[in-house]
Amino acid sequence: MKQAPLLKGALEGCVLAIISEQDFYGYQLIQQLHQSDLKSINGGTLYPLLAKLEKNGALTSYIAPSPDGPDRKYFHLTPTGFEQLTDFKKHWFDFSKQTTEILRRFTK
Amino acid sequence: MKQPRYSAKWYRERLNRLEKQLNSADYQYFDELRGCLSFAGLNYDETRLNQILFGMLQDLIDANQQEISAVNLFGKQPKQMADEILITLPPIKWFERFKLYFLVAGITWIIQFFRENPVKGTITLNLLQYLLLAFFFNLFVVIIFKLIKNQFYQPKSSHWINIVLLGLLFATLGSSFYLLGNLKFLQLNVTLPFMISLGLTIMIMISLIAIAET
Repeated sequence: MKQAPLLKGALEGCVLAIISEQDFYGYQLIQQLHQSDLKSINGGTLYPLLAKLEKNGALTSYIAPSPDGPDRKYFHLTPTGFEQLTDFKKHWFDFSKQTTEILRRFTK
Repeated sequence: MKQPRYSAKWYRERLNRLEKQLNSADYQYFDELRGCLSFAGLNYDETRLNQILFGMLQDLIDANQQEISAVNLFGKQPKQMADEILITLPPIKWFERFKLYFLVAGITWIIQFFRENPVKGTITLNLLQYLLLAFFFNLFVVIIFKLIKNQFYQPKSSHWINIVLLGLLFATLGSSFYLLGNLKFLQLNVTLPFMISLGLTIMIMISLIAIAET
C-alpha cells in the first residue's frame, strides 16, 4: 500500500506540529518533512495546504529578510492553529491506538 | 508577527524582478504556473494570489541554491497544484470587480462616443446601445481570459474546449454587432450639449486612467 492516502489526512497535523515549534518558510517545511522520512511530500502538496491553512486562520504569514538569499515568507501558528493541532493530536492518538489494537488482534 | 499590507502591485513588481533570477527551465515552469493562476484569477483576490506566488518563488530561488529545480520542488503536476491553490483564494471584492467591469465598459464607451459623434453642436447618445456595448465587451473579456487560461497545461489532443470557447467568442461579438446595428426601435436617445458630453467623456477617461493606475 502506498503512503500517500494515509498521509493525506495526517499531513495537515504534521505541518501544524512543525510550525508550532518555530516559524518556518515553505522550503524549510519541505526539508523538515523530508528529514522525518516523508520524502514523497513536495511543494505540489504543501503549498495548497499552506494556502488552505492560512485561509482557515490556522496560520498567518509574514515576509522577513534573510541573511543568505531573498526575503522569505514565514508561516506562524495562530491560536486557532494551536487549537486545531491539539484537536488533531487527540484524534490521531485515539485513532492510532485503535488501529494498532485491531492490527494486533487480527494479524500475526 | 503582523504582516504589513502590501498591494497586488507590490508583489507583482517583486515577482517580475525575482523571476529573472531563475534559469530558463525553471523560469518557464514558474511563468506558466503564474500565468495559469493569474488568468484564472479574474474572480479572485489578486493580492492574495500574488502573495502566495511570491512565497513560492522565494522558496524556489532558495531551493535553486541547493540545485533543486522547480519540477523537483513543486512536482510534475503543476496544473493540479494551481487548481488546489485557486480553491483557497478568496473571491475578488465587489468594488474591485466593478472597477474591472467599468474599465472595459469605459474603453468601449469612449471608442463608441468618438466613432458616432464627430465634433458638432450637440450629440446624441443611444443609452441602450452603450449598456449593451458594456455588457457584451465584458463578456468578451471573460471568455478571452478563460480561453487563455485553458491554454496552460492543455494537452495538444484536447483543444476542443478552446474551439468551443472560440465559437462562443465569435457568437458574442456577432451578437453585439447585430444588436447594436439592428435594435433601433429600442433606442433611448438623450441629446446633450456638446460641451457637457465632452466633459462627461473626459471624466470617464480620467476615471479609467485612475483605475488603470491602481
